Formats: sequence, C-alpha cells, structure tokens
Amino acid sequence: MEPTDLNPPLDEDAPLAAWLRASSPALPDDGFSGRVLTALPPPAHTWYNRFAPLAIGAAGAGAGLVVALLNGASLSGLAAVARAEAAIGADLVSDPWFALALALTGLSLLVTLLLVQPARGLARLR
Amino acid sequence: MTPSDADLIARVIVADDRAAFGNLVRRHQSAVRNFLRHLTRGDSALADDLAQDTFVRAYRSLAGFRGSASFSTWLLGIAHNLHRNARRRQHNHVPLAEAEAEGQSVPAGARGSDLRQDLGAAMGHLSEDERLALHLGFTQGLSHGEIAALLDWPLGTVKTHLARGKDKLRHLLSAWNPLT
Repeated sequence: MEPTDLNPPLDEDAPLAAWLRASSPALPDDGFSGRVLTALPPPAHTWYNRFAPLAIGAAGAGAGLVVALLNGASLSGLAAVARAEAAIGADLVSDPWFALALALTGLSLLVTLLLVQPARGLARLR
Repeated sequence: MTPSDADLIARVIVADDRAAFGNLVRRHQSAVRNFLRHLTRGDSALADDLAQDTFVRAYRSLAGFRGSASFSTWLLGIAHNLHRNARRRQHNHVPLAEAEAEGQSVPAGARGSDLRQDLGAAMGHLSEDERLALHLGFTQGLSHGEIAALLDWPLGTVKTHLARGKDKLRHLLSAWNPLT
C-alpha cells in the first residue's frame, strides 16, 4: 500500500520544486527578529521572581522568632545565641580549609549557572 | 555546536531566555514571512506585521507546544490562523477572480519573459487552495501529512490539490519544457 504521509518521488517533481523555491528566496532578517523581541510581553511575575526568595526567608525567620518568644525565650537570650553562632561562623571562616571549600562551592555554583542559563548568567556577571 | 530547536524552546520555557527565542525567530523568520507573503499575495508590509504577531503568539503559547509537529510547521499553522482571522476581520482581501485576471494579464509562455514572471502568471490560473498546497509542499517542503494537519484538510484533499496544481502548471509552463 502506498504510504499516505510521504511526499511524491523527488525526481518527478524536482524541477517544479526548484522553480517554486526560486520564486520565494530566503529573506534576510533585516532587523525583523529585533522588532519581534521588542514586541514580546514583559517578563511575567518579575516582582515575584525577584523578591519571593527574600520574602519567604524573612517570613520563616519571623515565624521562628515568634515561636521562640512564645516558648519563653527572651530577646536578650536570643541575641546572645546569635552572637555565639556568629562567633562559631567566624572561627570556621578563619580556617583556611573551610574557606577553600567555601570558595570551591561558590565557583561550582557559578559554573553551573553559566552552563544552565548562559545568557542570563553572563548578563548577571556584566 | 548549534543548539537544536528543542534546546532553544526548553530554554525559553524554563528560564524565559529571550536570546534563545531570538535565535528561533532568526532561524524561522524567512519561512514564516515567505508563507505570509504568499497568503497576502505579495503584500510584504502586511505579511511582516502578521509574521511579527505569529512569533509573539508563538512565544505566549510555547508552553503548549507538544512537538507532535516540527516547530516550523507549528509556526506556519499559527501564521495561517492569524491570516485567516485578519481576512475575516477586514473583508477586503483580493477576490480570487481578480487574482486570476492578474495572472492572465501577463503573457504566459511568452518567449521573451523570464521564468519567474511566467511562473507567477501560471500560479494565477490555480485556485487559492492549489497554490497554498503547492507552496507548502514544494516551497516549504512539508509532507502531505503535515499540510493536512496544518490546514485541517483530509489527506486526500491535499493530494488532489497538489496533483491538480501540478497538472495545471505542467500545462501552462509547457513552453519551458522540463515538466513535460
């Protein structure tokens, strides 16, 4: 049975195809793609994309603070805990091996960003 | 390495990568604009406006692109729908009889005219559907199945329009001989 979705043999129709293609030559871009990109809608949910991680982090920290206060913790006690945690962090960063591991992690994240989103990653670097 | 259409589409969908979409536009603009110039009978300004709308519509609908047809065929389908809607709105498209009269005004087969002029005149003798089928089949290189899906025609209708169009062109361009 004849295949139903294939074009006819090329040798029979090649001259006609060549004629028709010659009558519609490839069009140069001539700024067309630039006009299309200008006409695209602005990025959706810009505010959400930019600030949602910060808002979620702030909401989490606020909720944690409220829970701690409701469980009897005092603000001065929490500040002391925060100071102790900061001191531990400072000790860790002063360790050259920890600093090297931190730098390598940051570098790998940067490389991943550039590989996954080359255009956006480069734009952020500029 | 040149990224495939699928790679570029994925970047647009996942990261709203405008540069990737620009690549897609540059890659397919010629086919879409040529198709619309064919539909608008050479009105390049209207064709380019509709082509711009086609790509903007494609950008908005890209998440719905399932890949059952090639990306270029999907774009041509959007272009065809936009042209049909614009024609319905305006009601001022060139009637077929007028186009045929234009075709007859050029001396088909005149030995002194060049091939493009004779081909244009011969195309004027074809019905709109025959011209459309020939353009999609031969100029755009679509398969019968792709034309049927794009225009929502039965496969037999596609074959009939292509066969009739080819027969008419063979007859009208017999002076150039390579088809006979």
